[in-house]
Amino acid sequence: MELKEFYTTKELADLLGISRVAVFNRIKNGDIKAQKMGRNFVIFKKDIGDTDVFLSNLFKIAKDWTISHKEFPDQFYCQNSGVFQARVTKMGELMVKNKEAKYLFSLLTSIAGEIGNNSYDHNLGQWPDTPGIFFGYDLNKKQIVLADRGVGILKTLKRVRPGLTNHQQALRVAFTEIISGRQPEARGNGLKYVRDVIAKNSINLIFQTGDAKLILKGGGANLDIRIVKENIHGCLALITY
Amino acid sequence: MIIELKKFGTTLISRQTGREAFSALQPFLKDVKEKETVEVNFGGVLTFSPSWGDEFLTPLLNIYGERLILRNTSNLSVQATLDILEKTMKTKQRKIYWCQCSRNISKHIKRGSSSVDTKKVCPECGGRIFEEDAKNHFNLYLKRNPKRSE
Repeated sequence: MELKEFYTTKELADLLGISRVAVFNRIKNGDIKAQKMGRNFVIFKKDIGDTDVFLSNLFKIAKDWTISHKEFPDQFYCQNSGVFQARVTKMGELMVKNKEAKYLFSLLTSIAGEIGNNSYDHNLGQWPDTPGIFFGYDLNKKQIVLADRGVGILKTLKRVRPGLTNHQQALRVAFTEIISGRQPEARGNGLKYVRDVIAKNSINLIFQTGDAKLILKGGGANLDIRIVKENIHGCLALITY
Repeated sequence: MIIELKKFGTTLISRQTGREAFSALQPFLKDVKEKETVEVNFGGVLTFSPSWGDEFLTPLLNIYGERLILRNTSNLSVQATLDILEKTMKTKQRKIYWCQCSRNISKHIKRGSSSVDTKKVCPECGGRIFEEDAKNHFNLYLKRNPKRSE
């Protein structure tokens, strides 16, 4: 079968974890180069290169930090879990007042809390260079970004599953099995919780560790795990709703 | 006994704070009578997560079993958390500790210790300690919003 050289707007929206309207808006603004095909727009793969750049500035800032240690504004930096807890609580309070986030605010705050706290719990005493995480949110763009420069999921889970050989396998285990890199402590349900919540709600997640990228679309439990060219240090997550 | 969770905060998301909340509760648990129910009221909680819940609710369930009752659980994150905690409890081997005189003394045993020295004696009565799977004694489910008995 011949591989398609373009995405439809629906396909690109699914890939990016955003709505079709958001894709149309970006086409209109010139952020995404598209061509008319009949009554619809199509986006040629050669024209978009790295899809991540379309996602958000926040995501790009966080990604640059995880890849090349590029500096970012202090306002997004949570050096310890206390700072993170305070900022997540603040986000929850703002979401309650925001009509777009009002219904999902408790779930969004909860899954952001799980992903962020995971970074601290699994890197405590082992941060390779910068301790702490990137945590940013944009309620207008309906997105939350979290990132760390920790050891990553593969290294964490290898302590209890030495047979894991690549980031893809580790990512699948982390989101499907109740297992923890901090055994014998009874842990390991955080990312399964994130998956369960997304499966039942209109929340999307892109989660990358090493060279493996997971795309979870709201309302479905299907794990779409791909290999990507950039190998990041630690973990990078984008939650959209 | 009624535990108002909102007194521990309205955003309950990390393991550390969950563990700390459980520790802070210990002095009050001493007053719970043998057949008394322990009610956890989620009213006023804005966000709840499995990390916090696992540190707080799981030990309470191990101690009080069916006497643990959860109220006002309509918040979406509370519901989702209780679902995943129940799922986790069913797959994990939770232990409870009994003293020779058939009293559940789990609350006196430090959590997280993988091998409890069962040769030690009960700190309360001096009897021998036995370790067993919690599932042999309790239905490992969280009793949500049951009707109050008249």
